[in-house]
Formats: sequence, structure tokens, C-alpha cells
Amino acid sequence: MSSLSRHLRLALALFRYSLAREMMFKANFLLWILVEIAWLSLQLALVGVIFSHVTEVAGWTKYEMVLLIGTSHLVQQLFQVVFLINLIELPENVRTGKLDFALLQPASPQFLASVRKYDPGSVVNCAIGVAFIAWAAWKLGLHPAAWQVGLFLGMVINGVFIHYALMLMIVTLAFWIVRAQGLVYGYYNLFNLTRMPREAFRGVARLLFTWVLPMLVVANFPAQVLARGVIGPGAPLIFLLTLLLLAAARAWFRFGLRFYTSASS
Amino acid sequence: MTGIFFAARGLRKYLRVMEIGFQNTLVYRWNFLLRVCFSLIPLMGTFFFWGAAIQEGGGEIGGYGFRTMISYFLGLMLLDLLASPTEDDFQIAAEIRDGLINQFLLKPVDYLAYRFSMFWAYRVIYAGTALLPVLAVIWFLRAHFTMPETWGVALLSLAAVFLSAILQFLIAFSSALLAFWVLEVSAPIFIIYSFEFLAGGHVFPLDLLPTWAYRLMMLTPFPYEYWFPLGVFLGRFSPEEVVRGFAMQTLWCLAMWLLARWIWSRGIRGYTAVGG
Repeated sequence: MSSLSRHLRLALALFRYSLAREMMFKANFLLWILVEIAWLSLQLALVGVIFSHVTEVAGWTKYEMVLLIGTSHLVQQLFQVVFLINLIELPENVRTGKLDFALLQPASPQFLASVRKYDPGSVVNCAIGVAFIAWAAWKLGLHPAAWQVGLFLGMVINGVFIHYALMLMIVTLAFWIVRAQGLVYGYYNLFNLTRMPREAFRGVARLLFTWVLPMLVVANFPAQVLARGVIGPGAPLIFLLTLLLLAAARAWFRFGLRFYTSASS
Repeated sequence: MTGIFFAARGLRKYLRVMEIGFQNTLVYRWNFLLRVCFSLIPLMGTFFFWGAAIQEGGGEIGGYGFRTMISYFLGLMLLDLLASPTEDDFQIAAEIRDGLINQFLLKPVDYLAYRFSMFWAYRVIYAGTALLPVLAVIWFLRAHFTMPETWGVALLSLAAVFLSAILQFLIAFSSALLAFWVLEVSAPIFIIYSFEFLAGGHVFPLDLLPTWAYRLMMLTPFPYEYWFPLGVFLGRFSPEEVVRGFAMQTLWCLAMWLLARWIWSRGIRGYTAVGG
């Protein structure tokens, strides 16, 4: 059996396990969905308030902004379904030495540090993101062609991997810094930028957040494809950039792992 | 005389708590520093996004020019630094859940006063580590930062920030007490946060709202956490509004204190003191 199909089967089994676990705390499961809805509403309230005073921001109309926020939400929630909890737990697992268990299993350490647990609740939030995208598309009177939808989905998945690569790099710092929760907080701040129109950014900041920490690519590019049929400048390079980021994150994680000393007992 | 003696002794006790709080918190100084540095990223987003919006509005939106708007968000950053609880609510909830409050029930220490002392210890250390980078940012953006017009306004803003800190602490404390009834309080706490942020003016200045929505928000305690101190700082209120605002802020502090006391007494009644 090839290593890839073994890891895929493992991932499926782990998803079933996560779902069963979540269903033990149903009220909490529902509450977390509410949390995400509440925070999404904050963003929409901001759009509502700004667009009660102007008709465009950096070339984006009100419903294009809703589309952008919906896309950013979709990418974030997809990321949350698969990767987020695992990466968040990494600093704690390093500190307490629980990472030992992952290292002793007959699977890639990066695989087990990235996709051991899933967050099934976020699937519901993905659906909410899709609903907002559909609502905005309807309000804008869009009739996207098949290639637009296909490219949109490809770019959304690409965005998930951008998040994964950056977050893995951030939490890998936990091999050197004890008590690294501040790092997780940092990730949320970085993510804030994905729902901003790229055109609003100027100078070095635009270059930095497009080509180094590509936050302005994650949702901007797919939203533009869907809303205007416009492929952003250098869009093909974005996929290449993601591959580079993934390779860098992998190398960085393996380097960090060498400094793992386990803990206590 | 004995009354004063006991009061002084009581106060000393909590000063000692603060001292312990300092030592506990110093361990996290790198964490604090990281937090502040990372919080500069959304500030940059705010800077560009509102910049684009205000440009579109022909130089202003709802009476806010670029300079005033940036001052609002820089002021918000200072306010968060000086007055917002960082992890107090989650720590309180954990102490209740893990039965660590048992010791307070047996000793002549009031848990609310204890946490309040800890809260100030946190604030001092957090402000101490983070003030320098924040001031550096404000200096860097000084062309877009409006200082209060007079010393009087500056002093009034400080007073409003102080009351905001008390109010923010009491709201965090009360919501953490949910831990008496449910095991996992994070989700409810995050939902309360979202109300605080929206109705408090953490997302946008409240007077950008239509009048009816503004009035509605002002009925809640949340604007007195962020919007009121920032409005005083930027001189958005008339003298009468400032006086009324301070009265309301004080009243909400009192109300939240009573609420916290009431929830605590209810919670303690059904408390089973697991662990130990």
C-alpha cells in the first residue's frame, strides 16, 4: 500500500473519530457555530456602516465586499476544519512533551501534527460562507462561467494551503519559545487582512502581503475571478508561491523538530 | 481607629496579591511583547482600508477625516493596552472549573478583590512591556495622530479610561462566572466579546451609525468600555454629554459590580468544589 493512500485512509478514520467526539458535547458544538456567525456579523456590520456613507472602497462595491468577506470566511473555515486545532495544540504538545506520542507513530510527524484532529463544526460555517457568496453573487447579478467557478475553487483551496504553510511556520517557533499562545493570537491578526481589498494597500505593504505573506491573495484573487472574471496580476505565480511556502514550512518544521527535547517524565 | 486599622490591613493584603501578580505576569513578558507586535498588523489593515474609504468619501466619512479616524484607532490601541483584560476571564473560569477557588472560600480573602488586584498587576506589566512599541508606532504615525486639545481633556480621558478598565474587568469577571454552570465557557465568552466589540465601538466609531442604532447601542454598558473614553479623547462630545457620560459610566460600573456579586453568590450556592 502506498504511503499516500495509507495517510488518506488514516485521515478519514481520524475525521470519523473527531465527529464522534464533537457529538458528545452537542451544545458546545452549536455554540461554536454561533461564535463564528457573530464574528462574521461584525464584519458585515462594518461593511454596512461604511457603505451607508460611500458607494465604493478601493474599487469594490458593497456586494463585492460581501463576496470578498464570504470568500475569506470560506477559506478560513476550510482551514479550520482540517488544520487549525492541530496547529494550535502544537505549542502545548511541545511544552508538555505530548508530542512524543505523535513521533512514535508509524506516520509522518508533520502529518500527525497537522491533521490528527478535525473540527466538524466548521463545515457548517463553510456552508454559511458559501451562502453569503451566493447571496452577494445574486445581488450582483453574476452568471459565472464554469471556468470561473473552477478557478475560484482552485484558488480557495490554494488559500487554505497558504494559511497552513504560514501557520505551521508560526507554531514551529514553539520548539524554542515556551508558552507560545501569543503566536496563535498573532495568526488571527494576520488573517484579518484577508478580507481587505488588495487595492486599498499601497507601496511596500501591498508587495509584502501579496508576495511574502500572501494574505491579500487568499480571498482577493478568487473573489475577483468570480465577481469580475478578472484574473489578478501574476495569478499563475500564486500557485507556485504556495508550493514554495509549503516546502519552506516543511523544512522549517523538520529543523524545529531537531530541537525538540521532550519534557519531564 | 480600629476601622482604619482593619481597612489598611485589608488593603495591604491585596497589595501583596498585586506583588504576586507582578511576579506571575513577568513570566509572560515575551508573550505580551509578541501580542503587541502582532496587533500592529490589523492596525495596518485599518490604516489602508479606512484610508481608501475616506478618499472615496471625498476626504471624510460621517465627519471623520483620515487623521481623526487614525487617531481613533491608535487611541483604541492605547486603551486596549491600558484597560482591557487579557486572559483574566479564561483564568477565572479555569480556577472555578478546577476547584482552585476552594482556598478563597476558606480564607478571609475576597475573590473579586483578589482578581481585581491581579487585573491591575497584569495591566501594569502589560503596559510596561508594550508601551514602548505602541508609543513608537504612534510616533511613526504622528502626522496622523491628534493629541487631546487641552490638558483638561487629557485628564478627563484618563479618568474615562480608568472607569473603562473597571467596567471591562467587571464584565469579564461576570462572564467568567458562567463556569459555575457550564464546563466550557470559551464559546459564550467569545459571543459576549462580539457584542462588546460591535456595541462598544471597537469595530468602528459609533456615531457612524444611523441615529436609531446609535441610541440603541448607548442603552447598553458596552459603549462605556471603548466609545466613551475615545470620544472624550477626540473631543467628539459636548460638555453636557461628557458629564452625562461619566455619570452613566459610573452607574454601569456599580451595576456590573452588583451583578458580579449576585452571580457569584448564586454560583457559590450550587458549587461542588471538585478537585482541591
